[in-house]
Amino acid sequence: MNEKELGVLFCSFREGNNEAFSEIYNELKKPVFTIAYRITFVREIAEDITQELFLKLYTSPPDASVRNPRAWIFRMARNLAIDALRKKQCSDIDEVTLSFDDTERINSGIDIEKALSSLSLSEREIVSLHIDGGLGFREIGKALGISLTSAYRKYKSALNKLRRML
Amino acid sequence: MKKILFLVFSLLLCSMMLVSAFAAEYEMIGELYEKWTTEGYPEYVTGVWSTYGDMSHLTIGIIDGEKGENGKAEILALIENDSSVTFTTQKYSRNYLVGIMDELDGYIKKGLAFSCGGVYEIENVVKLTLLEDHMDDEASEAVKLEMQEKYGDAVAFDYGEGIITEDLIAPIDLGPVKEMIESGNVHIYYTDIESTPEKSNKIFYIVLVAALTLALGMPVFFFRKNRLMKTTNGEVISEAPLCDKEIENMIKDSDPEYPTELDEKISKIIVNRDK
Repeated sequence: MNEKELGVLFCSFREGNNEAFSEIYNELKKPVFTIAYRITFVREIAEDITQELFLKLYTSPPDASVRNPRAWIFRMARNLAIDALRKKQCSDIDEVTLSFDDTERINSGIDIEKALSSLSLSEREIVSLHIDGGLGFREIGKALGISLTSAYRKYKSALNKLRRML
Repeated sequence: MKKILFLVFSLLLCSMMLVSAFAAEYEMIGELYEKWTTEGYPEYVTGVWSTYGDMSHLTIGIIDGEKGENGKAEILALIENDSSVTFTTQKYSRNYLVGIMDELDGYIKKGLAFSCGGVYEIENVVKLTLLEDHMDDEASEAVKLEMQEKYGDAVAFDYGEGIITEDLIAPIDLGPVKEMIESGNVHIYYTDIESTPEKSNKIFYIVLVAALTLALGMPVFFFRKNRLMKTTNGEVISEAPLCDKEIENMIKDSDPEYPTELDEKISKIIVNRDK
């Protein structure tokens, strides 16, 4: 589903068509859940975020001035995930990485989750928004408040880190 | 006056900080090229060669069309000194040609009258050099026709002599190198030999080429560093270093399973609210 089709669905939903919301939900539920999970790495939190986001979306959908509703929603998912991490009282969230010894090579089997968890929070955000959310680097830059080039560079750096581990 | 000077100085300092903050990842194109040689070339690159005979200025071939244009923008965003690079458009991606070359290596190893072959980046083809003695060889002709039918103008043939040298560094005393050929991890440099050697000399050269290929190829074959990508059962599914696309696919494939019970949960809340 492209941006135009998604925009039409939102327009239809704002006019009271609940079927349109179902379509929007089915289109975006998986990427929203995945983005939330990749940022928090806690399944229950990701579920709560997904639920909260779609309930918010149901009561107050983005208005017609939002040009890219997909990016708008994923940015919302990202913000909710960051808030959830903050609530977990992480003092320096940018340094939050799950326990993973970088020197440990993954020779015995693929464990992409483990490798992803070793990335910094901002790298995980960018990787997930790009791969799971399908957002371009310009949109990611806007969502994270960084330049397009920085977003692209961080993404490439994250992939290089993953390459070294896999 | 002091205030104005202070303001000007502050603005100057801020602009310098901004410039450094947005600095590109590589100063010269050569650094990016080095990265490609170790980590793999992007799909939109058709080839890279020195424009003036050294690494200070490189010509980069990119795929003709939108994909290539996007790639060019990506390259320019990564390098600080964009005057160190010239772009040209070509038809086939370098990775595609290397893929063909790998396939053709099988024929070369069978000794079907090909002295050597490789990716000719400037000409954007895989070129196989046939020995003059085998020009009328039936088997060679059959392979040649097969290749032409399968790969079209991505494969070309010529007649002459190939010289295999050390990898990575172009032989200085070889005279002007016509093209660098890359076959697997072995780099072969090809130059035209103007004088036609005697037949006995030709046999000597063929033996020499075969011996050098073995000498260079075997260590490369045995000591090449492969990162094994395995499933959790231990089954090897790839031996090549992972490219960006592969990593991206791995991430996509490992997406967490969506909790289907959440559908019902959200639906119930919405229905209750609507009531």
